Amino acid sequence: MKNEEGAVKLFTGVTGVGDDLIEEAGTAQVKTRKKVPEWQWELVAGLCLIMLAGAAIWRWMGLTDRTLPPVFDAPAVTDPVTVRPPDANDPGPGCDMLPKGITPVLRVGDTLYEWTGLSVHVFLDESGSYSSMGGGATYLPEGFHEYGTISGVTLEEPTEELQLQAGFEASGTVFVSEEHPAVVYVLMHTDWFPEEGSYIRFASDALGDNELLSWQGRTYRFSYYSNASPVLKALPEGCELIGHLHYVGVDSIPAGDLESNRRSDDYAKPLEGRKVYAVPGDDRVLYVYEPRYRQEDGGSAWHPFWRVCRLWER
Amino acid sequence: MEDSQIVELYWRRDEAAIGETERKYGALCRGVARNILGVDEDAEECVNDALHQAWNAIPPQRPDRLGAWLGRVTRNLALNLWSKNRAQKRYTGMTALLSELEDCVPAPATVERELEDQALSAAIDGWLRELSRADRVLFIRRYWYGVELRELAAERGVSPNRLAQKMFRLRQSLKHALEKGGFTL
Repeated sequence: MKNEEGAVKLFTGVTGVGDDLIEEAGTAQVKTRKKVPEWQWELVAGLCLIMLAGAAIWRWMGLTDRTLPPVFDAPAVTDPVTVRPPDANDPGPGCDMLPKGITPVLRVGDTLYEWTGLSVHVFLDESGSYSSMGGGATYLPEGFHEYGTISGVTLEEPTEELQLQAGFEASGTVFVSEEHPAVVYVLMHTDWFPEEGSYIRFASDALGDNELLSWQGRTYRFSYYSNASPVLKALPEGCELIGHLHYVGVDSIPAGDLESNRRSDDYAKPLEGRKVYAVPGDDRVLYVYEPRYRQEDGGSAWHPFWRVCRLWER
Repeated sequence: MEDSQIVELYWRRDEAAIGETERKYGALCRGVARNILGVDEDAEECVNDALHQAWNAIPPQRPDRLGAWLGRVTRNLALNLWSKNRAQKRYTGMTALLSELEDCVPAPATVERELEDQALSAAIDGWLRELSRADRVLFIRRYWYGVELRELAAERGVSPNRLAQKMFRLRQSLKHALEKGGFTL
């Protein structure tokens, strides 16, 4: 090793990073992507080539001068943080590595609910960040009542009432709430849970993966998970403050002005009370204030940024 | 038992503290030590020493997050053991980690700032917080928890080669960040 001393110093340096980062990585669950067969990649590549060729021919023949409206055309006043395209190797947070790589789905009536994880207590710690109780304790939130029991388990999409799609055997009791129709909880029993079972939260599409923000009857989406939502170093010209975000809970579908069902930002800091901006007359995008940590001479500091939330078209 | 309750046992000098600590964090410490050293007996020695250190250090210390605190103690003990025995070349885990981290050592800058350990940790911490959560978790699981690359690749459902490329880019990013800050090691 050419610079063992430097490597050892780095090892020591890594040892001293924040407790919250250590805990975050210790409890992080990782999405397992299903492997895509090679022939499917080749098919996609072939289709892309055909589409590109078609588009080139179409333009050359001048059959269209239609300019698609940009989803987001706000000019950067200063250089924006580079928009990171979704990384195929970056699975994003949250999804369990579950048996057979299947994310469980439960049918209740006409609605499919997808597994989101253990229902654990979340609280604000001394640093002002959201943290969760360890020890595996789960709970059923207030307002949910017993609806029925899991009728069976299938590997395919469930077609029968209270049927569960999963890669493992399970049984359990399903709990619903009229006030929160987009979420159900299941007290689930399976080999790898404690004897008393664990409460698992399932959510429907209507919850938008808990990334929704509502404004004047329209719904916007944060897209933290996909990395497709950029953060800007400066607001676009003409932006005005329209109000402050109000967090309505993870089980709610936001409906009122500036209500959101997303609890926190990338740093687990609460989104409640964050300033929200918009360009008058442009209802495609909202901007939510989001301080981010940046390294600079003399140390690191928080800097203001704004996260883009696009109009959500389901 | 909550961390605060276990720490309270230490402050009361109740020996049940050690049993509770072992019960809650023994597996974590053992895992970290084993990943770094790769030798079970030495890893076990590390964990025992970590518990002994906990008893001696608390009080006066009162760690907020006992797991992270113990993990650090374990890492430092593992480093000491490696340092003592490295001539024997026993510890493949540590060798791999150091060999990878060598990529991050910044080239000498025009303005050299010799980094104290704490300042280096703060610099790395700052760089980590700029990353996406997935990248941050990946880096810490590899270089703090010492999880092997093939295990990380299996967790993510990608090939080890692809993940190795990702890790290399992350290490280069850290190196760049340290160089930009004018740091040297």
